[in-house]
Amino acid sequence: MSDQPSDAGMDVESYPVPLPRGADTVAPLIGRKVALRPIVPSDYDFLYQIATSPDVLVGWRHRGAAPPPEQYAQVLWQGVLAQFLAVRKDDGKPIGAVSAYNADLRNQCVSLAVLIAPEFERRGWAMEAGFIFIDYLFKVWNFRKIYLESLEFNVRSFWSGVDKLFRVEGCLRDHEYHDGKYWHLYFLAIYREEWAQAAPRVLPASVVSPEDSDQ
Amino acid sequence: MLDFPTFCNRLRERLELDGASWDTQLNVVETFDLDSLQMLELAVFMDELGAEVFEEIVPQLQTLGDLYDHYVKRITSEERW
Repeated sequence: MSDQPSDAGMDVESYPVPLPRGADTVAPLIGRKVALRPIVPSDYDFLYQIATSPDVLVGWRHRGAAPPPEQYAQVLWQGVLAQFLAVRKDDGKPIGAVSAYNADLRNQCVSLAVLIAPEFERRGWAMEAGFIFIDYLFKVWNFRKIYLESLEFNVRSFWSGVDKLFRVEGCLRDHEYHDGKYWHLYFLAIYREEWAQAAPRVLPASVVSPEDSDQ
Repeated sequence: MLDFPTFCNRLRERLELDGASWDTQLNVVETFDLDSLQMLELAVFMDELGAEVFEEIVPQLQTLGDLYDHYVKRITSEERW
């Protein structure tokens, strides 16, 4: 017989483990105007339409090459760790998608891509969807940094954050050909520590610190 | 409720903006050529003050006076309830 006390008479309150938690351990996926939800097969048509839209192709992962529709589902999930549909918070209509791909769990980094329908471009929707997703990625995985690629003409939309939130890790000069000229391709990284500082400036408190905002 | 100078100081610190004369006529968006990231920071700043900025009125909120008036209207209408 063991000398150890049985669990039967143990005082649960004094047992040194945290109380049970459930959905509150997961990062919220709802921002000011945008919410993220899982992608289901019925979303594929919408995603294919915007991913192959001439206005969007240059900024998305396919870079101008339109995959055949029958192969799109496979292409969409290729190398993906997590991805969500971005929808309007007010009416639930889809506006785009966010994707984390090429995860390197050994070195704790991942790449991020944001796809947004042309009519929602340059109005802050893509940026908010991206930030909600970045917060989610840092909360759910122990990543050190999240990479994103951006062509020269897209970096302008978040230039104020370069060298503060977005660190330039590299630049391929005159790398990509679009509209008659070659453009630089920037490789940027968001570091976990810097994200912790920046998140309250760009996301509602309900996303950054849901426990506090519930009180 | 914040007075106008305090509102301006908070906004200036939040967006890390320098220079220019901070009066009601100052067109913040144009003068500082705010990018999408700064516009999002501005929207979150207004939310925190209880003056949510809806997308349809964004084009009308260009000057410091516009922003402060919007803040005052939202705060006073909240207080009435």
